[in-house]
Amino acid sequence: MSDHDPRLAELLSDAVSDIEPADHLDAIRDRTKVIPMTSRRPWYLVAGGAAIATAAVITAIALASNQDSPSVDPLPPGTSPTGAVDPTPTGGSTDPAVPTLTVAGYYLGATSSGTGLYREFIQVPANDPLSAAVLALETAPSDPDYRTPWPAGSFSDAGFDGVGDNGVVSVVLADASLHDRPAGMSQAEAEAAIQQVVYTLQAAVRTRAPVQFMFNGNPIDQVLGVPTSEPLANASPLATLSHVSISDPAEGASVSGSLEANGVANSFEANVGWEIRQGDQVISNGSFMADGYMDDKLFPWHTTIDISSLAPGTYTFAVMEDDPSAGAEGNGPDTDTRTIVVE
Amino acid sequence: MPAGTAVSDRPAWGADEAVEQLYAAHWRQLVRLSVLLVRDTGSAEEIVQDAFVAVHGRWSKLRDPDLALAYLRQAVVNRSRSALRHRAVVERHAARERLPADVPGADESALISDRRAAVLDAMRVLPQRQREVLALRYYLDLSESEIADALGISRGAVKSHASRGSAALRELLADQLGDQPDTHPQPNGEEQ
Repeated sequence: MSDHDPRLAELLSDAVSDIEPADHLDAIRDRTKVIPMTSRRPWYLVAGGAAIATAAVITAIALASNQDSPSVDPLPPGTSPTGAVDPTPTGGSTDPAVPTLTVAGYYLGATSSGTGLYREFIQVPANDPLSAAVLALETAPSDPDYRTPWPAGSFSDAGFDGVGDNGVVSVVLADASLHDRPAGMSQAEAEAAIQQVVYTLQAAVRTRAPVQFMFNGNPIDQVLGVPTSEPLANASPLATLSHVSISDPAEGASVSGSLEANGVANSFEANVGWEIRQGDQVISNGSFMADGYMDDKLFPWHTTIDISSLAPGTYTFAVMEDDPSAGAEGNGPDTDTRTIVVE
Repeated sequence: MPAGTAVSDRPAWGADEAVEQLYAAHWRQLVRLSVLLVRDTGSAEEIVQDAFVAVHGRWSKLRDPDLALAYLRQAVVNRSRSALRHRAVVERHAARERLPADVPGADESALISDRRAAVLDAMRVLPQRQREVLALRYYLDLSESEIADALGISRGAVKSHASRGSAALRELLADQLGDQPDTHPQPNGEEQ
């Protein structure tokens, strides 16, 4: 480094040369033996005083209500041509030692029934799927309709101690301020954010194992104000996820001739509608069938749309839930959109 | 860092052993690094303890003492940053500072402790990133690319933070840097 000043190096080293830290090896050994399930409070809770301490109301979490139907693979094979968790050779990553992984990230977005989760496949530099999933949670999705409430540095680690649906996925918070629900975030949004983590990590390990939030080596009693003392199961997919989600095309994809699209949906009688729009104007529309609809899960769909008659330009590709009542009942259809560029 | 080399020769550790070896070699240095970032020793110990717990949980993926050390450094910097956001650190620091402040003295040890306090105070004045870059650069003697990796920023950003931070620190510590040689010993042999 060009700007190396030996006098500053000396001053900084000298400034801490009299610091003799106390021995914490026993405390570290103690915390790394087994995952202790006793609620030893992290230091900041003690420091935070009574107000936070009384918030440590242990709410029983429905571990047993795991959505464990075996066909509910978060990543049905073949739903995305990019593959679910393909280690691909390093692209433009800054660190040549870290490969780029494609993972399914879940992101918050508006649905007909409030804030729901949309899935987007995202590429991040990581060595393993769980690290990639954590990074995906902290990375802004490319679709501007989605968002993530988790800033960079929210999590330090994630792990999975089991096989299949047995075991617990753990995710370690790095930032103590995430304990409480921030001002301006609704309860529903906080709950969606927690489910976002659950769904994204479950997708990474390809199981429905419950997810335990940890801090300082212990389970943390709440995250964003949502009770997390116990491992959390994923909530009902139809109550949590947007009923339609586009996997391909990606946001801003260039297409010509025909548009190959796929994703997941749960729509009345498996009918899924699509539109290609320019501004407010619907240029063309149609529908196709998803693989099913009679279950609490999303079903893969795939369709090919002839776009050879479209003039080059930027369009919106929209896929929507079928609404047989035409808006007379319920909250109207869920819709997912992608910007596409026709060449 | 001579202590780091001893660790690199034995690859087949379990997580417990790895943590013990890393602790023996780096505990003090990492706490001191964190003190440069958060100032308060008690908080620094907590932060580094958390980092060791985290590296234990991650050992099965790291499996390499050098990677583990890089992870530890990164964890210490990140956690120091998070801790600073938390008022508890500030409050504890304030409480701690009140104690030694009323111990007067004009002898050499008082001058030394004044100088050390001035350096830590100056670090706290710097923007977060500059402080982190300077601590990794000047205290741990990391290279530009090692700092870029630890902080997750580009080498260009490291360069710019280092340059601005150094200039700011030189200005803040003008008194210390202009000190007489007898009250400010220079073991690195920098003679006038």
